[in-house]
Amino acid sequence: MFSFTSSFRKRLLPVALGPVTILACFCWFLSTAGGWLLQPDYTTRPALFLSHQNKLRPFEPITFTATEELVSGKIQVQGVPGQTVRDHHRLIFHPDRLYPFADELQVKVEGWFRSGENFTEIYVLETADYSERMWVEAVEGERPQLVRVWRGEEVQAAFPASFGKAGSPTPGGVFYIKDRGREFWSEKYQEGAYYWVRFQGNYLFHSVPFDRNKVLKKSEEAKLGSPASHGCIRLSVKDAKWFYENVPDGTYVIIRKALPKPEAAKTFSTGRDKLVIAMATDVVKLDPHDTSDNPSAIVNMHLFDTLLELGEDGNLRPALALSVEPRKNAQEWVVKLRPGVFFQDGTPLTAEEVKASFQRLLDPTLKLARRGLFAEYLQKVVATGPFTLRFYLNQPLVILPFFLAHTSAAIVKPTADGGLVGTGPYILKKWEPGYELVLTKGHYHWRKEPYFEKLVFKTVPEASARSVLLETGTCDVAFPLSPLEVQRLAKKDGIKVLTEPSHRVIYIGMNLTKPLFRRPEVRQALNYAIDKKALISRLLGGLAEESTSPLAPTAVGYHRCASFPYDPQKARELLKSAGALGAKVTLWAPKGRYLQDHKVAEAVAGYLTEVGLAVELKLWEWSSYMSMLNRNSPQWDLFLLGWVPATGEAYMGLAPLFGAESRSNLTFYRNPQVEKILNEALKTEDPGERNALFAQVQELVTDFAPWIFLYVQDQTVGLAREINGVEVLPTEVLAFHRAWRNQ
Amino acid sequence: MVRKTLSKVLMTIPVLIGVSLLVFLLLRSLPGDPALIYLGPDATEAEVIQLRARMGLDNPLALQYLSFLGDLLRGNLGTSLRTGRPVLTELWARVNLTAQLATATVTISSLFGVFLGIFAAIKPRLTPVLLLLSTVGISTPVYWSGLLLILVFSVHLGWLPPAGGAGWRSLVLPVIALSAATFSALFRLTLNSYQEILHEDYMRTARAKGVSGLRLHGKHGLRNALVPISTFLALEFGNLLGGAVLTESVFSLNGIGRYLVTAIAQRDYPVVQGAVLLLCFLFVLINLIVDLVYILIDPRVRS
Repeated sequence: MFSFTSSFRKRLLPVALGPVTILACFCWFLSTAGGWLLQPDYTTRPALFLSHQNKLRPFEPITFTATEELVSGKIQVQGVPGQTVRDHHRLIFHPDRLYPFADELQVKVEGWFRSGENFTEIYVLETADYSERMWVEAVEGERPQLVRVWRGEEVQAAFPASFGKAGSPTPGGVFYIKDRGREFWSEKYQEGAYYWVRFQGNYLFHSVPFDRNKVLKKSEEAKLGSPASHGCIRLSVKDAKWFYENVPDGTYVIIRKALPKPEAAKTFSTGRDKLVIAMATDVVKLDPHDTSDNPSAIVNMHLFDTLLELGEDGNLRPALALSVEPRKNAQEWVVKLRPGVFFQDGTPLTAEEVKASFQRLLDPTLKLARRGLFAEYLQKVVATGPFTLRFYLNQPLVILPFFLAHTSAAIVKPTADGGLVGTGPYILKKWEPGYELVLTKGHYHWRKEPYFEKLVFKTVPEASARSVLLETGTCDVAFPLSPLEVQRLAKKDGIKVLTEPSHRVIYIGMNLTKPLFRRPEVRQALNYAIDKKALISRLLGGLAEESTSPLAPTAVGYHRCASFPYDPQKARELLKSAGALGAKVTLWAPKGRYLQDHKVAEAVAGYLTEVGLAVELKLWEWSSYMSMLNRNSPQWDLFLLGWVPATGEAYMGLAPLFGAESRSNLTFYRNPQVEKILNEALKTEDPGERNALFAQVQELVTDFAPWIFLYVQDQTVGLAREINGVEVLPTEVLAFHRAWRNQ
Repeated sequence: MVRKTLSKVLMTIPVLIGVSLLVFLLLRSLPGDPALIYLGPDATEAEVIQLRARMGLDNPLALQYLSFLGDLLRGNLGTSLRTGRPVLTELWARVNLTAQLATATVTISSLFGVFLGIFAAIKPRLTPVLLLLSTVGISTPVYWSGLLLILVFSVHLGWLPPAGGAGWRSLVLPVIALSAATFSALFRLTLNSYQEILHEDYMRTARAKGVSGLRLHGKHGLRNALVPISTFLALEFGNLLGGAVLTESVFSLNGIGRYLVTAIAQRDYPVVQGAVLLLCFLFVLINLIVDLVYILIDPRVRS
C-alpha cells in the first residue's frame, strides 16, 4: 500500500498533472470565453405577449406567445386551478374550473427564455358574462365522452358523444354555432345523419350515421361515448334532435382536451409522491399565531409564509416581502410586498391581507398565544398601497425584521369555514391527531414548486422507534435522534445523519439573591469546576459545543468571550478564599426535556462535590419544573435550563435573560449598564455598531458569570441517504421546501 | 336478579362522580401550569396571564369543577386546553384502537392460556417446559420484548410494520408482545386451579360414572375453572385499556394510554379528566358484565 502511494507521488503524479491542468484550462476557457462567444444578442430583449383581445370566455385557454423560445414557464390564475402547457414559443393555460363570470382575474406568468432571462408578469384579464346564456362544452379524452350544454354556471344537459377518432380528430378551440339542417348525405364517407348543427367548416354536431337506405348504423351507435367519427361530434338521434331544436345559432362552443392529471402521471415515479417525516411530538394547532411548540412551527411553515424568513446561515432573506425598511429611527417601517403571490384558495396577496393578518394577531379579544411577543412593540399596521404597508411601533426597534421572520408572524387568511389559508406551498389534506398529518401540494407557488407531492408527518414519541422507522425505510426523515442512536445510525448504509448547530444554549443559573453567589470567587469557581469537554464527549456523544458567550455562535450578534477552562485546583482555591468550602447548594434540573439533561445535572453535581461543595440534586418533571422556577419564590440555588432566542438574534438572547424585570431572568442578574446598552442597541440601525453593543453586553455578563456556562446543543436529523435539500434551521425548525429525492 | 343488576348499574353513578372529583383535585394539586407549558419557558408574563384567562384557569376551583360537571351531564367532556378540539371525539378515535388491542390480546391469550393450562394439568409431562416459558413471558417487560419483536420482524425480516398506521398488520406485533405476559399469567392460573379441580370429588364421581375426555373436562372441569379465569380476564382487560402505555409508545400506536400520559405531562386538565372518567366507566362496565357472566357460569350465584 505504502509503496504504491509513494510511487504514485513520485512518478504518476507529475504525469497525471499535465493533462489535468490542460483539461482545467480548457474548461475555464469554455466557461468564460465560450460563454462570451455564445452569448445571445441582447440588443433585442425577448418579450412575451398575451394573445387575447376579448374577454375570457368559459374554459377558454389563456395563451402567451414569446418572441423567443421558452425553456420553462408557468401561468397561474387567481382562484382557478389549471395546467400550463408549453410548446416552444407559447405558454397555454388550460383551466380546470370555470372562470368567474364578469370579473377581473389576476394572471401571473413566469418562466425562462432560452437566452437565460427570466420573466414574471402580472396581467389583469376580464372575463365575459355567460351567467344567463347557453353555451356548449365538449371535452375530448374524457371517458365516456360527453357534450355538455350549460346555462350560466349550471349544466343543463349532458349527452354521450363520439368525437373524431385518431387520424381524424375533432378540432379543439373556441367556436360559435353557425347553421343547421334536418339531415345530410356524404358521398365521400357513404354516410348520412340527422339533425346537424355546424360549428366550424365541415365539422358538425349530428346524429349517429345512417347508410344509403337511411338505416341507422347500430355498430356506430354502440360506440357513443368513445371516439368513432371522422371529426364531427356524434350524438344519439334523440339527443341530436334536442340539440338541433334547443341550441340557437351563435351559441359559444368550447372544445377542449382533458389533460392528464399530474397526480395520475406521477403514480409511476414513487419517489416524488411523498416524504415521510417522523417527529417526537404531535402538532398542536395549525395556527401560527396561537402556537409556540416546535412541531406546529415546522408544519405551519409549509402552510404559511412570513414576510421575511430565516435562512440556514441565521441571516434573513426576503419572502412575502421584497423589502422591509426603517423610517423615523426605526419606529416606523415600510414593507414592500412581493406581487403575484396567491393564497392557496386562489385569492391574491395584497397589503390588505397582510394588515388583516397582523390585526388578527394583535386582537386583544382573540387572546392568541403569540400576541404578547408582538403587542409589546407593534402599534398598528397600515396599508399604504396595494403592495405597500407601514408598520407603526411603540418604540424604536431595529430588530423588527427578525420579529417579522418569526413563525408566529406568518400571514394567514381566515376562511369562511373558520379555518386558515396561507400562501405556503402545501395545504392540509388529512390530520389524525396523535398519529399522522398529511400535507399536499397546493396550486399556487411563488417559490420554486416543491418536489414532493405530499409531506407526511408522523408522531413517533420513542427515539428508538424513530430510528427503526428510518432503518426500515418506513420514514425518510427522523428527528430528533438520541446521541446513542446517532453513532449507530451514522454507520448504516442508506442513512445519513445531519448534525447542525442550533441556537439552544444550555446553562446552569445561579440564584444571585443567595449570599453565597454574591461573591465573584464562588461564581468563577463553579465555572472552573466543570469539565465541559468531558460532558460533551461522554454524555452528549460530541453533539454540542462548549459555550463561549451567553449566546450560541449561530445567533446574529454573537461575540466570542473568554471561556473558563477546567481547573478543579483553582476552583477549590477560589472557594477556599471565599470561605465557601463545604457550602450546601441545591441544583435543580428537568428530566426528559433536553438532551441527556438529568445526566448532565448529575455529572455537574459530581464535579461540584469534587471541589468541595455539598450538592443536593433535585430532578423535576418538565411541567412541574416550569412552574417551580417562579421568580416570586426562588427556592433554588442552581438550576439547569436551556434558551433559544425566538428571533435568532442577540437582543432576544440577552434581554429576557439579563433584563432586571424579565420573567425569564431566573438568576436575578441586575446591571443598569447592561440594560442601558441593550436599549441603545434597539435604536442603533447600523448592524456593525449594534453588534458591538451586543458584544459589550456579552463581555459584561461573561465577566460577571451569573451562569455556569455549559454548552450549545447540536440538533441531529436522520435522513434516508437519497433525500437532499432539507434545511435545518438553527431555531430547531426543519424546512422541506427545497427537499428532493435522488433516484 | 334484575334488581341486583340494576342496583349495580346505579352504583356506578356515585363511583363516577367520586372519581371525577378525585381526578379534578389531584390534577390541580400537581405543580405545573397549562398556560406556561403551552407557551414554553420564554413566555412573557403578559402572554401567560392572557392565555390563563383564555383557558379559564383564573376562575375559582369550585366554579371550574361545577362547570365541568354541568358539561358532563350534557354529555360534553369539554375541549382540550392545548388543541382546542373536543375531548370526546379525540378520545373516541384512541379508545377504539386501544380496545382493539385489548380485545385481541385477551382473546388470544385466553384461548391459548386456558387450553394449554388445562392440557398441562392433565398431561404433567409437558408442564415443566410450559412453566418455564410462562416464567419468561411474565418476567419479560413488554417494552423490551416489543423492541425485540420489532428488531426481528420489522428490521431483519421486514414482515411487519414497526409502527402504527398500517391497519391490522401494525397490531400484530403489539398484540404478541402484550399477549406474552397475559397468556403466561393466565396459563399459570388455569394450571393451578385445574390441578385442584382434578382432585375434586365431582370429577372423581364423573369419572366413576364413565364420563371422560372432552365431556369430562369441558362440562365438569372447565366450567368450574371459569370463575377465577373470568375474574382475571376482566381485570386484565381493564388494565390493558388504561395500561398499555409502554406498548403504545414502543409501537407508536395512537392509543388512549399514550394520549393520557401526554395529557398529564402537559396538564391538559379536560383531557385527563375525560380520559380517566371514560376508562373508569369502561372498567365499571366490564365488572358489571363479569358479574353477569358469573351468574351464567355458576348457578349458586343466581339464588
